[in-house]
Amino acid sequence: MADDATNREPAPAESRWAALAAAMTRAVRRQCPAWLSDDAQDIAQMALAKVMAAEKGREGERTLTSFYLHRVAHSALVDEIRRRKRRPEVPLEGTPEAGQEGRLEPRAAGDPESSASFRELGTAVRDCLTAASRERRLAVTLYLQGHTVPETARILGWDNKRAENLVYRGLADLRQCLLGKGHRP
Amino acid sequence: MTSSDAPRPSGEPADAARLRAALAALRGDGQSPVDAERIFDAVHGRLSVEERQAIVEELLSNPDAAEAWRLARELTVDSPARVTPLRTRLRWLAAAAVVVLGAAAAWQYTRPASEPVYRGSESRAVVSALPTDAALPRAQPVLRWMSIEGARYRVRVLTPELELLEESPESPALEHTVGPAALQRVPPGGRILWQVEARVPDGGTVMSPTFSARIE
Repeated sequence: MADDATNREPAPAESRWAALAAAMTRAVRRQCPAWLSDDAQDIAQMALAKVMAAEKGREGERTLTSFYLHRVAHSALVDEIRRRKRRPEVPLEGTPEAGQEGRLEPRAAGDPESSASFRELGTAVRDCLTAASRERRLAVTLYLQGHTVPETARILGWDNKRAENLVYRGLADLRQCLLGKGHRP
Repeated sequence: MTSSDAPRPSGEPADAARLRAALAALRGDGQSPVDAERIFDAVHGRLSVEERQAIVEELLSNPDAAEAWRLARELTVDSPARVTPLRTRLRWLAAAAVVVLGAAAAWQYTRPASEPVYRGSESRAVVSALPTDAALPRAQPVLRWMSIEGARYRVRVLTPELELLEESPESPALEHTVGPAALQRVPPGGRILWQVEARVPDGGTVMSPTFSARIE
């Protein structure tokens, strides 16, 4: 976070760089899963590189808020997590030792066959939602992303009642559609 | 915008978790450019309603964007931050620092009025404690997984065809014994699939991948 870098007197360039680097490192660490924590510094470097790229050629001074730093840190983390999830998986053998649980890197998916079955169902879900009315599609898409009804309402700019109706009617439509495609929801 | 400011409805449809898992199983090519920062802004309500709706529309057609959305949701909560212990490594790239010193000199920091607070998600992944495709004795087929602090768990056991065999009540236990009624539908040497849904203290839900096991 950049909070302790706030309200300072103008500092030499080196101090400002150090403050930026430290703020970015904190921003990364506060979002970083434990299994990735050993690489937090490297990810912070990647995030800083993104900042540099964004600033390159920009004229004039720019205010870097801590929200901005967290957003860039988040983006670098997402890039790294996605990259790792797509690496060949190494199955876990046996039970990890005590204290090591948090450092286990989550696998992209479990069993390949079950993943294939879920993908087939997922494709049907996607096709059904694509054919649904826009409002129900939006509501159910967010709900199936793991959001609660109130969160869905806020993101889509609706009141809770409307979101609730659309989610549950959309889910009902989805079930019917899946049955029509031969899937038991 | 956070994932924790409202409890999930207690009357959540029984099939919601399965439908979520199915949608999450869709994989992009991993190569599609994803604007994670824009998605981050949308999740945090920094874009207009129209822009947010447009991004939500894209989640269906772009699994990579959907994955980035889930990460934006999962990595951010509004509880006090937990800072991961720092492993000190002086690996800052000196050359890069020199290049940017001048630019950094011009930058100023301000604390925004509305600043998201983060918590590391180090313990928010549900990881199986069994080997891949473990063979379980029919007399005691126990499924086990790793703890998420403060979470309560619900386990679903399915056939390879995704038929639900049984679903456990929510419990803090880190294991589940597959019941006799479910076992009756599994032939010797047959496979089962299992998933764990963890409800964490902030009200959010963490779904495990789908694991498999064999019943001897």
